[in-house]
Amino acid sequence: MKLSPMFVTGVALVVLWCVIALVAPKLATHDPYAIDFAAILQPPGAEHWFGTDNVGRDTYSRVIFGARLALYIGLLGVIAPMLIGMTVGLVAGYFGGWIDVVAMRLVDITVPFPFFVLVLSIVAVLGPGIENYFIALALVGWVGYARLARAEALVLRRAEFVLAARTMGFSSGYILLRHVLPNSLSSIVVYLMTDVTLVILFGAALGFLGMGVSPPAAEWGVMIAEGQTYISSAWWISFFPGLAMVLIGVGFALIGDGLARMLRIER
Amino acid sequence: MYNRRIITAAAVLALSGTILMAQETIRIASPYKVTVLDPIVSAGGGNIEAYGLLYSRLMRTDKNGNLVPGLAERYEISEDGLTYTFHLRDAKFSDGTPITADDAAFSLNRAAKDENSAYPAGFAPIAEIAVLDERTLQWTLKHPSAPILANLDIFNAGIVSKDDVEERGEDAFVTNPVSSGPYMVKEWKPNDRLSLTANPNFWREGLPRVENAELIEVSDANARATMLMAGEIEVDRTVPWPQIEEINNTDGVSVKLEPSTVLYLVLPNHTRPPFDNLTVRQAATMALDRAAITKAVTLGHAEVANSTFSNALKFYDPSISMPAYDPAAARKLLEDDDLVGTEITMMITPATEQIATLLKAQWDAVGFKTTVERVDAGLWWSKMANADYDVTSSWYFNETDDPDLAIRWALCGTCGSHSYYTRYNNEEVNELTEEALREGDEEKRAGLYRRIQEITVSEIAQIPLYYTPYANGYSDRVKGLSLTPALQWTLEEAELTDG
Repeated sequence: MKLSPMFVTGVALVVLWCVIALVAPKLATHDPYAIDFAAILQPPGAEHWFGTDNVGRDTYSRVIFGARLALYIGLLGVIAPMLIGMTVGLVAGYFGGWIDVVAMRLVDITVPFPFFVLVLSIVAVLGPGIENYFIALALVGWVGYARLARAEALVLRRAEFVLAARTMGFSSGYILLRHVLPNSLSSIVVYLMTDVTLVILFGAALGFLGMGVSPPAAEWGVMIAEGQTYISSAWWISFFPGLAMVLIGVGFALIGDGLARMLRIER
Repeated sequence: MYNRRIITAAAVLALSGTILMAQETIRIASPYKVTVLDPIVSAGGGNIEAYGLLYSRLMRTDKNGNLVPGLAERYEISEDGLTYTFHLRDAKFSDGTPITADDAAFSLNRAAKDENSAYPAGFAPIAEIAVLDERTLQWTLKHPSAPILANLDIFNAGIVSKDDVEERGEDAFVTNPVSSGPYMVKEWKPNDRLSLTANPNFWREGLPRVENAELIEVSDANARATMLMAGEIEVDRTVPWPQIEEINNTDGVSVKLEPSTVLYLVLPNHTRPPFDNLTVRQAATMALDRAAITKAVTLGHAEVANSTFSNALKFYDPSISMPAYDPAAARKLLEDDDLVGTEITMMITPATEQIATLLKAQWDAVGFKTTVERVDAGLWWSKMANADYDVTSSWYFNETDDPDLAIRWALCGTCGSHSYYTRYNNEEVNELTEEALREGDEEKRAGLYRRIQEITVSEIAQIPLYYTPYANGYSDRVKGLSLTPALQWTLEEAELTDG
């Protein structure tokens, strides 16, 4: 399999961010939470590479530490929706019948609502915080995985090797786990990559709206919100976390795109 | 040359038919909502600013800040200071009916005694209001009150039409309210805009000079600034400190810093630990570099507060001052009383995030352990009212430059709002508040208010932070418009120039 340049770039970006997150304390030039009255709203320069915010905190160090939160949210946030969605989708697609009807009606009920609006209202009801964001994601985000897994399972259950396994008397659970799941995994992984991007972006959006990670945490959405009133006079407060978000999002999106392209060529 | 000018003019005319109409309008964009037009039922900022445009009052504050006769042409005060007689001028409501003493009595009684009145404190001393004849009104007071005349120009003392309100009830303030002020309602779209047009029967002849006005609700500060710089509005109510420079650097618009009685302060809860302890309050005060906080938050546009009084109030005493910034001494105070590690829960709203971050840093630096509790504005008020908080930060303003109402709001423990819900309750302060209200002699009053400042500063009833001006953005085309400390627009005297 030939690696697409998109994929390589994406992996490089994501790996870079993972490294940044891992060694954040080494890379940071300042304590990301240290308030400095003498250095309020300093523009980017030798002392503060990305400038300082409205209470004198170093934006560069905060962006670096923000990578930890972003990856934490992005990678953890997709696990529950993926597991739930995959299970529901595979079971529904493989067995069909009333299970399929019930599962797909559930999907149909969830899909018409804009994803973010639904997440937002669930978080509003449960209260702000990252845990509640994860709960909301689990409640809403599984739908995409379920549809995808079901479509794969529908095709796979008529595949010759599945039929063969069935005639040989293997249990449904075994077939699902050993044959259907591995063969549908590739498209799910592609979707997973775009979903990570989405989860990071929405997490930041919640932080921006004051419903996600709460200040003074060095979270990119929170930082963008803090810089909002300063956008015309101290652009760097919001710009750099925004840029970081773009770079991490592009990284995951490129992996997803590259993977999809490579798999398509293979087929 | 001549032809070209005509062509240009024609092109401009053709392109901008609607814009020419709009030039007769002063558009004010504000984040503060106009939610109700009945002058007595709300003390919300957006409403207060609209009331003055729709309802005239018996007294008026002129542009130099002097109290002058309004709808009352003249008045007499009896020697004991208990009976006030007002002679109304010949004036009409916007619907053409005369403004009578009946209307004035009705309006003042509503503000003073109606159960829906949001702010009756200013009229509490009034015992009875009598109508002597169609144009003469007389009231008697329970006790003398030095600021009562000035209180007649508070936002809720606007004169409304008795007949109309009695006939239509609440609806009288929803569709086409009858106006006694410079403007009347053309169209009101709640949550969008209040469109006003000149009241043809306004008693001040020749005013207002500008035919139309619009109060537009724009909550986002960046959007307002952009609209102002693009000429889509003439006034930007409230420019955040960081935007002032950019607006001032733009041609045709500028920010005016207008005097206010606004005081930003830290409110400690006196009913429960840790802030019921004077040592804690002292340490918490000395831990704060209030000058640095002021500069950080307002970018140098505000003055550091020294007293529990706003510096724009009468009888403010500049010689009194809060304990100075001294983190070492603050630490020592805590150590001596074994209070190092005292936990503080600071309740904040999104609007005070920055101040809270700074307070927490400085408190923690001397040995407090501060945690931040985030609430929305609605929850904030209910927690305040129930004294369910340790400490928070907020601000308030006073309707007049007389300190009486400010003290009743923020420092008097028996005046309804429990010292701005801090439950600070000092009997001497409470008594002084009443004594100062009744004192006719200015010098003696000054002494009483000085004493109140001394006590509340030494006991650290609250920790004042800074005095801010109002920062409003204006198009250079607008002349003569300002926002008074009482949050009233001088719109009736404003002009719009070309260019």
